[in-house]
Amino acid sequence: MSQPVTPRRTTRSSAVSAPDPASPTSPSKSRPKPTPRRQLIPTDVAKEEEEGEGEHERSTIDALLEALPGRRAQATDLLRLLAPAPALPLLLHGGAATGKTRALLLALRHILPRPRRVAYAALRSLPSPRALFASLLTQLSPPSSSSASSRLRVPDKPSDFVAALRDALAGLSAQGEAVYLVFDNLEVVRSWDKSGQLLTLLLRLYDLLRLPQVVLVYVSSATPDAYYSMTGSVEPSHIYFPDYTVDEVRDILMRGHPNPKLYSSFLSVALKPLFRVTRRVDELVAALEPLFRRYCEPLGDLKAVLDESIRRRLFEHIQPHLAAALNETFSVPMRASVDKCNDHSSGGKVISKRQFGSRDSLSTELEFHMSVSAKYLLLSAFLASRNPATLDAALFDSTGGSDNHKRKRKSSQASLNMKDTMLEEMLMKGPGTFPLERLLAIFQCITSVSEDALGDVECPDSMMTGSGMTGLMSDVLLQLSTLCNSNFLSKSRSCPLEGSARYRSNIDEDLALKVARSVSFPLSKYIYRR
Amino acid sequence: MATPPGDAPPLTAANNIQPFFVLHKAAAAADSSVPSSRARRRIDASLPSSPSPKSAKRSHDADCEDGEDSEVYERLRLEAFHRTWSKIQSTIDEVLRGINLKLFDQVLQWAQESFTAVRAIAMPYHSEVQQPYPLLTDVIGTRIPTAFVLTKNAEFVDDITTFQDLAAHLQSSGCHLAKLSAAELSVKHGVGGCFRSLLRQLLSDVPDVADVSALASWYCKAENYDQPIIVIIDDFEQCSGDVLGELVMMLSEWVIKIPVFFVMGIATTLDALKKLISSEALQRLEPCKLTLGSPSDRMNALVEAVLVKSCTGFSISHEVAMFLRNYFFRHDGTITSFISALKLACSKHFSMEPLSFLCMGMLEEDCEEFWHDKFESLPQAMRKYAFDLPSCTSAKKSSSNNMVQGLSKLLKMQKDWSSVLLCLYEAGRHDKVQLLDIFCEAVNPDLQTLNAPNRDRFISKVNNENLSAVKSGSGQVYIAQAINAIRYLPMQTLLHVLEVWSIHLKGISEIYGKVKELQSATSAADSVMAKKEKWTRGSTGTTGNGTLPLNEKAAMLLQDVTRKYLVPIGCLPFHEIICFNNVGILQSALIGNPRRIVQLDLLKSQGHLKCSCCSRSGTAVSGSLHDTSIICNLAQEYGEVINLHDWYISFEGIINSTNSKAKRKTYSSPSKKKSKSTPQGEAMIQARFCRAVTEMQIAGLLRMPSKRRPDLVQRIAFGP
Repeated sequence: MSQPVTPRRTTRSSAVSAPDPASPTSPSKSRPKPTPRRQLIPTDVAKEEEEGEGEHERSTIDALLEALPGRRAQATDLLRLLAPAPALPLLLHGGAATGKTRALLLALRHILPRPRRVAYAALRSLPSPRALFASLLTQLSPPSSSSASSRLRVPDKPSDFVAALRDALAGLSAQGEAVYLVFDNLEVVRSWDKSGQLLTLLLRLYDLLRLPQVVLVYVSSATPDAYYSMTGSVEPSHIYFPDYTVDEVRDILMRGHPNPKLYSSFLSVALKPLFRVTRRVDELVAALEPLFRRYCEPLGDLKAVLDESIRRRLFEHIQPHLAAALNETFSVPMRASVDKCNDHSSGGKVISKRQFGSRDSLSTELEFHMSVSAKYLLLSAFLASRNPATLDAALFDSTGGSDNHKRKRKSSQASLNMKDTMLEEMLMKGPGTFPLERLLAIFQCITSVSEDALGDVECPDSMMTGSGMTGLMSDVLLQLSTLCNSNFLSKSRSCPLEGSARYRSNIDEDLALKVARSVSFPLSKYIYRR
Repeated sequence: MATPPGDAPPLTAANNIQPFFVLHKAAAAADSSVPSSRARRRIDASLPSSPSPKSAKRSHDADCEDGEDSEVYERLRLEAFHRTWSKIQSTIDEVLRGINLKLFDQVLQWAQESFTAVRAIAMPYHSEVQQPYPLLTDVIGTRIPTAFVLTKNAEFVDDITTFQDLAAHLQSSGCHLAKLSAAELSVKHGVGGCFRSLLRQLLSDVPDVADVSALASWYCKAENYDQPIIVIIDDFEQCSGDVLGELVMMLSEWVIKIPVFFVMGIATTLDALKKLISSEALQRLEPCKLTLGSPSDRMNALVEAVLVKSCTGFSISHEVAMFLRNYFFRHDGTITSFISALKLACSKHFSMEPLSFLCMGMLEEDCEEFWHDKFESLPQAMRKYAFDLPSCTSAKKSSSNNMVQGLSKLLKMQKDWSSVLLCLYEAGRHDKVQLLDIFCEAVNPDLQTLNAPNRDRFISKVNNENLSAVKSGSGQVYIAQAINAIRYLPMQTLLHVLEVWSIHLKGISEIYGKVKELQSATSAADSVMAKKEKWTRGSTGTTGNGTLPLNEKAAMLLQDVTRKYLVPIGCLPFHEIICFNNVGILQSALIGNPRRIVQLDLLKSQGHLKCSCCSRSGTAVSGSLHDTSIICNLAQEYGEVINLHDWYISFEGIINSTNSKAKRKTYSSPSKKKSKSTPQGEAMIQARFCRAVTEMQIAGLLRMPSKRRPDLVQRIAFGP
């Protein structure tokens, strides 16, 4: 399972103990081929290393810096702090997608003397402490016995783990070479249960092991302040990875792009506005990719010479899409992908039709099917969540809520003010909860009011209209569970005081209005407003 | 595509209606070669002892000729049911599969494209895949390709089988497949449990510590390497967003090494995504949206295949159709329940209608011969029954005394009816008319009577305004709408519609000729118009004038055909034999009102028990009733809340009064009686009270006291 990390291609292939059928013999090929669009850095590195036979230190650092745009200071710090074992523990921190892991992995490849072994644990892909222990121990156990050690008993308790780890490390560091233990995504641990215990253990490993050859590296997107629980132990040295600046982002995005001219003119238009929304490179890439495709659309030939007029034309073409993307990047760039899948799906008729529905948020049609009684139930739940319970009597009296304005006219200034504050309060609180009884009462009211309207829609000689009420009421609880399942309603655990379950509607007004429109129910008449 | 043979049948509600389907199970098990199950049992019993079982049997047969007959016919009806329903079922399966296949192919195509895209980023070697640290590529932010399948139905039941079929379809095309349900993606299991169940579906032996490296080493095996792993999550809305988000984050780090793609079923809208998972996890998904056919599309296809093009020999009457339609649109909205309702109707029809076995004739090659045979052997009583059918007596025609002819005519008319109906639908679908709506109107027996006087009504053009007027006026809303839709069709669509008509109307020769005529006229006009348009481009007035008469002609033709051939089945003699009419049974079976019924039964238990002790007491509650019944009766005297103490006292009073009556003791003051009752007796009464109240709670009639008001219970069900 475990492969020693050896940055040089030659040593790598020789280190593979079992001849792997897929691994080629020639060292220069052992990395995947560069994709046509962007070159892989490691290839460059490998080439460079082959060329400079003497392995000039300068050149390796240059290669490293070349591979890490905008990270010069961090890279040099890394090399400095990692290289001389015995080294102090190291904490790399900074926001997501700032190149922490990448810088670390590349630096580990470049430091001299070559690290004997790197054990890497991405805490995100390890679901439990036990998995973490198992993963580390397997990586550290000698490769020859890896098959046997996979049956090794995995320690459950942290103390057992430390003992096992010490055993494993002692064997390795006896040979005098540095062993690196990397804990990536350290912030994830904080959400595990018994996280405090595990975090302390991981951060104090230096003290616990007391092995000079072992270098501990922590990578975290949370600041070091988040881990100040252990006092008295050795503080790790910090390397901060700040967010990229616009220019750095542009450099990163431009790297290895097949059509640099076009792309840079595109970036000059699109990057700045998007950069105001998000600084994460990965999010930017996701948002820019479909935009660039749109940008290229008017161009027949991508290699065409860009003059000012074309640029202007392209800018005008992209402008509306850009504005839309600014609103969407923040949440989900769903459209991008729809476009994409639209592009390459041959049977895209259905999709393209739907796409319009999703595109204009003003689409008035309900996009999914729900039975009429479920719709009414949803509406009553919406009303119950939205309106204060005290107004129910006024809204749903015999006149069916049509006396709204009469009530308003009577109200004095003071009561208006009170209502203002109440409304404000309601908005702050969000949708309220309500018991089942209130829901059913409102449901009964609104179905009885709209029964005439229903009768009109249904065929006149329908047998259901005669007993419309009982017809609709019959399986309300079933509908209720449907609504809960589809997350339109959420059911709280039973209230400790009253002992009954309370519900809350999660839908926004847009959806409620759509539903109301589909059953032609005058919802706005019933919503409590100022 | 279909579930592999040998698998358990897919779990759907349609297969799961055993309670309704008890229809003579024992008889079904009987060997069909033996005249009747009873006879066979007799033979079996007599075999060891009697040397000549045949003579014994014959003598018995002579005894119970009538019973034998009815049994024979019962068996025939059962057979007819099985054959008819299996035909319907296979039709349904075929239709639904056809609809789903489109989606499945899209998903497969998407999976393959995504796989190529991922592999285009990097082709990691096996050793690289197994390394714990990420592969250094130049691609920023790897994302998991994810297909969101919008099922477009808030109710989930219909899609269970769809996703099962999808899984089978993908698996048969070589993808590795795992399904995660909402139960696994719950907070309780966490991401660890969820990942373990993912491993369990892929790996033959799951290691003690389940992490991604196990998956990686499995994926590196030669036989697994060159296919994507597809994880289907069919009920996205019910998953825990946190756990799903964590799983996404975890797998997205690995996606280049181990191509795990997601297929998620979303019942409502894409907004559900944003509500459920964190934006960080969402950023890790590379989404693609796919849609299933909407339930009404599926319904149209089903109605067309099963009810309209029915060569199955089973149809439903207007009331039943209306009921099913309302049930679908207003209550349930699932295809599954529609099918189960249909099945229920079918089974009820065959179990209740004595002559229903004749439906089988529709499935035979030579139906007339079949009916002839059957008719010859019909006992007198059943013949009489056949001619006493209301449709037969009301028709009073000369042909009606020949049943075989009547049935053949029925069959013929039914075929014409269905082809005309399909023509109507073909026209109406351009105006978003649903087939089920047209169907409901077309089976309305009033249609025939409506047609005659309102002959002129639809010749005039119906605008949208007076369409609504028509809507409120007569029953023929949708048919009128369909006919009206023709008038506004563009030429190209009209040509297509005529094309389809000519296919549908092949059976009716005279109309077929007219359609052909119209078709040629239309195509000629079309070509002329095309020429014209070349010359006078932009003058839409001329083209408008050109289309109108042809559209009008087509509409007239359709109207004519509708009037002549759209004879609802309810108007034909002998329709009771193939047409299910009893909506009451269906209604009571489908829309139960259990709580109300429970309460009614408890209140009126005398009526069910028919015991002697309570009948004379009239309105007063007698102590000899069941405890729960007493409690329920007493509860009626209270409002929303019931004071437990009062309730108990009155309960105790009733119990004690009966006890005293039973003991025939001298009447004395109730206070004295109470003091007399032993503490043991009182404990007994308290226990009975508690049990009765608990039963009420279980039945959902009341709610137990809350902590705030411990002496009050709340009634939930009101009214008798």
